[in-house]
Amino acid sequence: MPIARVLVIEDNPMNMELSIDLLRVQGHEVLAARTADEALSLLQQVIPDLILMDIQLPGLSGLDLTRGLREDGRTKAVPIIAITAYAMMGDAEKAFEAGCDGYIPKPINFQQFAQVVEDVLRRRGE
Amino acid sequence: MSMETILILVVDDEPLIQRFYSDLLAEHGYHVQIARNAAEGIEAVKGGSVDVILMDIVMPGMTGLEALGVVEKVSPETPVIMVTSHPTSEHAIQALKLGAYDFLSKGFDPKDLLLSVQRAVERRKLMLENKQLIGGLQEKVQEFSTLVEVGNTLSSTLNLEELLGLVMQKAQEVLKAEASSLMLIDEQTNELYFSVALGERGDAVKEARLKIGQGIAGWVAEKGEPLLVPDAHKDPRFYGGLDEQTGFHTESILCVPIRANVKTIGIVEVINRSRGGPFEEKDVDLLSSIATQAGIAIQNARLYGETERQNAELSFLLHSSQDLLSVLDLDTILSRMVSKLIEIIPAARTGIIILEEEGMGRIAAGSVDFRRLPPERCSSGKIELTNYPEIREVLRTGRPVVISDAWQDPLMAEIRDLLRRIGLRSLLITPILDRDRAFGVISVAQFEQPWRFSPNQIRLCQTLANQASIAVSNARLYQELGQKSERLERTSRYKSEFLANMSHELRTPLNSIIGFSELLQNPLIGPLTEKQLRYIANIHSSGKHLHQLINDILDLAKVEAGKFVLHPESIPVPATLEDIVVIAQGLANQKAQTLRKVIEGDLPFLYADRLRLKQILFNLLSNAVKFTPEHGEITLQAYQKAEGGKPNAGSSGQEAADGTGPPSLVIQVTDTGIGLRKEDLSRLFQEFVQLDTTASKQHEGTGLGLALTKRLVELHGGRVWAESEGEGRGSTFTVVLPFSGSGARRDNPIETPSA
Repeated sequence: MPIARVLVIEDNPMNMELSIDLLRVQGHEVLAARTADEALSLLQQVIPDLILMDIQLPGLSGLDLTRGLREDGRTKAVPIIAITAYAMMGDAEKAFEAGCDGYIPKPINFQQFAQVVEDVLRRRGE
Repeated sequence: MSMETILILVVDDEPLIQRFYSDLLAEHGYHVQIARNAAEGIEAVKGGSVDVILMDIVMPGMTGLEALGVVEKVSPETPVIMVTSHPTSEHAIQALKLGAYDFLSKGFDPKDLLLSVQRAVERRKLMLENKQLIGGLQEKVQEFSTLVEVGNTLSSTLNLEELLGLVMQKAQEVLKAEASSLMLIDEQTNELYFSVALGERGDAVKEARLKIGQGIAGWVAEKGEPLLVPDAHKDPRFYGGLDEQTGFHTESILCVPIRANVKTIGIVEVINRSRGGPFEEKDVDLLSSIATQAGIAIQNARLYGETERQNAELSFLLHSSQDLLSVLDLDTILSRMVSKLIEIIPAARTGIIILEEEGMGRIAAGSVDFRRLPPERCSSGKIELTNYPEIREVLRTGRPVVISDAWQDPLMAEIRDLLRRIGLRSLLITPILDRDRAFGVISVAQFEQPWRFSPNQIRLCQTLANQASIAVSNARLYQELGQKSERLERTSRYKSEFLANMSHELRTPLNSIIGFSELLQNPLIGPLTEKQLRYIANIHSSGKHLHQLINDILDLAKVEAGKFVLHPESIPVPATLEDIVVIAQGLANQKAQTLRKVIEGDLPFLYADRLRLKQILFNLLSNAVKFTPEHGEITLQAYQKAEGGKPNAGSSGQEAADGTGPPSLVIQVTDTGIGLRKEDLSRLFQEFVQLDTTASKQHEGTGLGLALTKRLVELHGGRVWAESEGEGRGSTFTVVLPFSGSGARRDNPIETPSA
């Protein structure tokens, strides 16, 4: 499993802690942002290998942020995995349409999570 | 119109295309007829049994668009789907304007075609139902046309000139005049021309014309009032030109206007009282009556043609059933009726009154002067029934009331003075019934002279009253339908929102429970004591159990709410089975069980929702693993059904032992596990039933798996049941799914019947 620098965008502190631990346990380096704005300023300074984004963010929605990132030359190629508790039909499609590379429903299945992260990172390497 | 008898007509000149459609449609259970060109197609449609037409636009001879026009005339309830390999928006617009139901370009996805055909079939059913409804209404319109044709006895000899000639002859005789004439107004040129000219000056004046306002006749035509002129030459208004022309010497004239509704359409005059003496006042009345009759005759004759046109209009509206309900709101329908009445019974004040609260009525439609009744009769469009004994009588009896002379009739005694004052003389009131209750009336009133309403006029009012009654119930039905469908919409939306919210709300805390408890077990986050680890592990597995439970409940709720959407596709069976077996293998390995997969022969593709199929298979296999002890054997078998699967004695008997049915896939999961008791076989598929055995008590289960599995199987048009020799003797679960699926529609919420 390749080590990566992952930016996690999540507004709920407990969920943020969970995601960070999850990633650290798998050996990744983690950057954290609690809102879309924070994420955007972080992205001015560093481009991560992967972005993990909760779709339900206050203010700018996760999907809108994704769309924005896809249009910016610097962040166009950074893989984005969407995390959400909404698991109705069509939610995954919407995420992919907005430009996400992966989709993880809550409650997070650790194995699925690890698998998706690995797949996405590997694809990026190709 | 069951699935077995739906006939699709394919009109295309290329044999390959014919074959393609034919196979595709037949595969999905439709009957197909082929026409090689537009002419053959039209012949086939005339046969009357075609349900949906699939037609190419570009064909030799008559094009598809031309043929479409013909088909829409011949059989408007047969939806036509136009297909072309050269899609242009003009074609599409034209096709849709001509009445095509849908428009596809070649190279379409077969699923789109099937969906379009599916919807066209549903539309056809609707239209056939509507046609029956409309048939009833159309009969009424026919009746009405016949009435107009027959008309008033006076106008039945529709050789107008002849008739008017006779009328004037009579007039001349009775009034003892030397000459008489009837002139009509030419609206285009604003002139009077001679329609009838009798007596000594007769033919000489036939071609002459008078301007409105010119001469006595012109004056009468302009003012709309009768004029009695004892000595013409002494009257400045007299126009002597005609006399000069003909050498006739006019002395006295009696001239009265011919009116239709409020308009003057001409004049009748009699000239020169023979045997001395001018015309008298009482002659005015007489000639006025004659003029009225003449007016009716003229109007009827003229408007016969006009009415025909309007009937055609009404028929057309009735034909386009959708328009009827949306375009014509109640008052509009009633207004049109009043217009018809005014034409047929001219010189009358006509209106339709709808009852409102106790003792009040609303004028829903009426001739111009109906709406301008004096305050004693009406105020701001509302009337008080206390002022209308005739309407009260009609409401009481539910039958029409005809009053030839309201100034004499005892019924109207209480308002006789008022009636005299306003000149209202005769009344025809017809009730508009809703079932047996009258909720409105059609009122026709005549003035000054007592009027004998002819049987035809009375019948006409009744026909219109019937139509009004239908219109009102239609309008009400439409409103109710609208409200009902609004309510259904709302309920459906609430259900969707609820499910979406529940789904979200329940998963969020679970994320923490499952996530953190799992992380805590990791030494990097911990470390924890052995006891703490045990507790945390329990929390974790409980959380996972809860998660599964929630998923199952939500799935079931979706099925119940009719919100469960299947996304079927053509699935390769062996590959899909392999995917699931691999996962189940993992579970089996933990209990050292043997899992075998047996696939017989080449299996066709299965039209089903891949995810749900996997859900079904996984449920059965995981149950088998769960309820079979260590070292047990589990077998997954799949084969094509030749005949209907027959249950044997120890089965849950869910299906009939029929030997028929569409070609289907049979999947059987057999295990050497704890088996089932006979009495449990049927209870098994109910929600929250977990059998009362020690084995099942040891196992975590939600009791929902089989219930959901059964629903999913049924949504695919299949069946599932269990068999067992008895406790401890293993069990076999069988699923039968038709290869072509049925009831599985893409992207349409399926109306699942509530349990």
